[in-house]
Amino acid sequence: MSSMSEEREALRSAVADYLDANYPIDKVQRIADGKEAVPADAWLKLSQGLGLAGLVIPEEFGGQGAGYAELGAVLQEFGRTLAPLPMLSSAALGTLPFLLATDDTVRRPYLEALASGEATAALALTEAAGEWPVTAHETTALQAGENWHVSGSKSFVLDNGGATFYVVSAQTENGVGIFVIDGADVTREALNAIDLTRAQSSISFEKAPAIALAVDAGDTIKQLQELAAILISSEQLGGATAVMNMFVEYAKIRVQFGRIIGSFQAIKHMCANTLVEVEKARGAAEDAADKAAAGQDDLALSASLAKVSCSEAFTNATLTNIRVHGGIGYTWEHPAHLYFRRSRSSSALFGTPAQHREALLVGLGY
Amino acid sequence: MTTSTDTSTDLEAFRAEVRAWFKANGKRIDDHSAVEEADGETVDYLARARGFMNKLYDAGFSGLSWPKEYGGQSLTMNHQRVFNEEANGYDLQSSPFMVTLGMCAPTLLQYGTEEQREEHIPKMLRGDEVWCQLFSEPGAGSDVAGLTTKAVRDGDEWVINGQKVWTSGAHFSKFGLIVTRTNVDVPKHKGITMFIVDMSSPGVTVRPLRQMSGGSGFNEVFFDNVRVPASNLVGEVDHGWMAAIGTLMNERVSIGAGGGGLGRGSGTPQFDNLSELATHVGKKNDGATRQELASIYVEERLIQILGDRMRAGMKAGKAPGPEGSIAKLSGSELGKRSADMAMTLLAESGQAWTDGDEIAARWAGSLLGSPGGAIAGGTPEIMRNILGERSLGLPKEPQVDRDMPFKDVKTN
Repeated sequence: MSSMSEEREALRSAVADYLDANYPIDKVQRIADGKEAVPADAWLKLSQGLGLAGLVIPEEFGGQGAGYAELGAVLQEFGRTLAPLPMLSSAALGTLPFLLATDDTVRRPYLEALASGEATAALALTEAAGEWPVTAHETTALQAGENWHVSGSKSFVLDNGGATFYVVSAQTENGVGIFVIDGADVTREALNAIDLTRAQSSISFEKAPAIALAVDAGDTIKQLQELAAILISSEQLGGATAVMNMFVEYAKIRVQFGRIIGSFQAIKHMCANTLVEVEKARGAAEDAADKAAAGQDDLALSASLAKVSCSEAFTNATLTNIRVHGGIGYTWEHPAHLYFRRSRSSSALFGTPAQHREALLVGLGY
Repeated sequence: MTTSTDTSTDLEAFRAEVRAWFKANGKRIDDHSAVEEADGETVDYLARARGFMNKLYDAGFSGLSWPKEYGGQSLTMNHQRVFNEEANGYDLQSSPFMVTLGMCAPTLLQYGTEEQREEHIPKMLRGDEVWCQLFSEPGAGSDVAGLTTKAVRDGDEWVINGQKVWTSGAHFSKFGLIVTRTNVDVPKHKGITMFIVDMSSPGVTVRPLRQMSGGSGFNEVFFDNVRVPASNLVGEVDHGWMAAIGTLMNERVSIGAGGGGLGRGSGTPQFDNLSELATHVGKKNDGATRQELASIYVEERLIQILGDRMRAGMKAGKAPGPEGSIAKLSGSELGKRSADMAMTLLAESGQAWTDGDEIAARWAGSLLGSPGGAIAGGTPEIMRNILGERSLGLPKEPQVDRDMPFKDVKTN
């Protein structure tokens, strides 16, 4: 039922093979547990191998020149495997502001560094909890001659342990702008995240030297937020599919009362309910990614539809996963909790389902 | 889906045509539409709906993505999408044709003979032939393959005896697709044969059943030595089960996500109706109401996207898979939730109202119709079994009669 083209399917399958070989779930668990570290050059290697860091960066800047639909397919694989690499944080969200920027001389060095995998970027819009879409930017940017300085703080930044540079929104005298600051110029405080596979931080910066990507960029910031919701939805869809496969496979082998548990209607129907939710979420996520790829201007409705349905499908699937597995599913050793954690975290990021539902009504003029 | 005929210029020109046509010929859906829908079961309504279908066909808007040689337009799914968008808000008067176009016509396209297709499909698209689907029996509801209506060969004819039930529209159908038992010495799925039956044949008796909603859209149909020419055979003798499954899969998509040759399932009528109702009762700014309203919008859009993807898949040559059950399940759940939400908004006035309160009357009708919507085309439990077993590959429910000759099977 997937609408994926053959080319996109080939890319997805290559990424799947790589992640399965290099980040099997038991390894991800050891990393989440702090028993093993992600090699420092992991991202660089992946960038050189499959070009994922520069997947959506145009070829003239050293990237692959792929579109949002391909990016969505790749994000599904990262969501499926929970590989602790900055695919969503840097290659997708961190790269977006540079893709949307128009001045090539300004963006070129960043895009080239990102495409090579040598640098990572993190998008930092949110300042306070529960703030989505972000409309009030207390962070300020002041211009002094050719130079800009930004002061303020941002929170819930996905940065995989620290990004090379941060892209922040900040209030200027002429509207809200988008600025790049060096990772070395921020004070980073790691947050205690329920998701053990993705680091988050709050960052603060005082008169940090900044490069302006765009000034008076309200529309671009709106677009960034819509795309962020769409991209994390693809990742959520991958996670939902993974846990569904996990408990369906278990239901096919686990025997109780002399029968394979998947032959009991109670269990079979739990599995079917998840399939229903996941397939509908797939429609919404892929439809939104296709619309982003087609360059549709106003993605607000599609983004909210995808974020609501993927959040709910993923969240419910992770709970069903634990239930079908029974007691074993509630142990630390079983990976079920990693997905459960990821689902609750992703559901809250870039707009909760409740916020997106309200946004949908407003968008429909109600 | 991109072909040489759906460039954006073509689509925009097509959009303008559709828009102009509806402006001149369409009827806007207003508060009375539910009342019309309720008597969609009557012969009067059928006559009006048929007039509309004739006009739609003559204008070249029937069967947009269906083959030209059978009266369709051989256009793309994008044309269908554009048509749906433009048709949004107009009364398509399509309910009498849903079984004909959503279920019987696709079955004929796939399993019928060339003669059968040429003879019937253009008439179906034009609204001149309404068909019904004669599957369920009193003793075989969820277990369709347990049917006992018999067909026996007699020279160039087959003789049918038995009883069908829950047959929507049998009272105004010209033809029916019937599944019959033709061999009792083989397991139940292997001795089933499908025929086209002329509903005006001697020996056919149609008796309307009154439903809990008060309506009479369903019937029981009796077959007493009904003779059917051998040329009415659909598919092969004893191998009608696959064709039946095909019909049922189309049925699930059609019931759940709209479909057929018409472009039902366009727009977001539940959301539109409920948001109007919320405003009407002064709850527009109530937080819980807004959340539930938005959830209904989301559900409605998700089902549309799913339906579009399934129809695009079918057009690309894929028979509808078990995924049709997703649409079926979701559609009935949405119907229930919408009715529940309306009754919450209406409070006391949802359960008793004065004459002329059309809003209350319409939602009461919707409430009373929703349990039937869940059962029609297979219960939610059967849908979940299908999804669990056929889509996810879980072990089948233990079936003691699956490999037993039908004559040894215990029936109700």
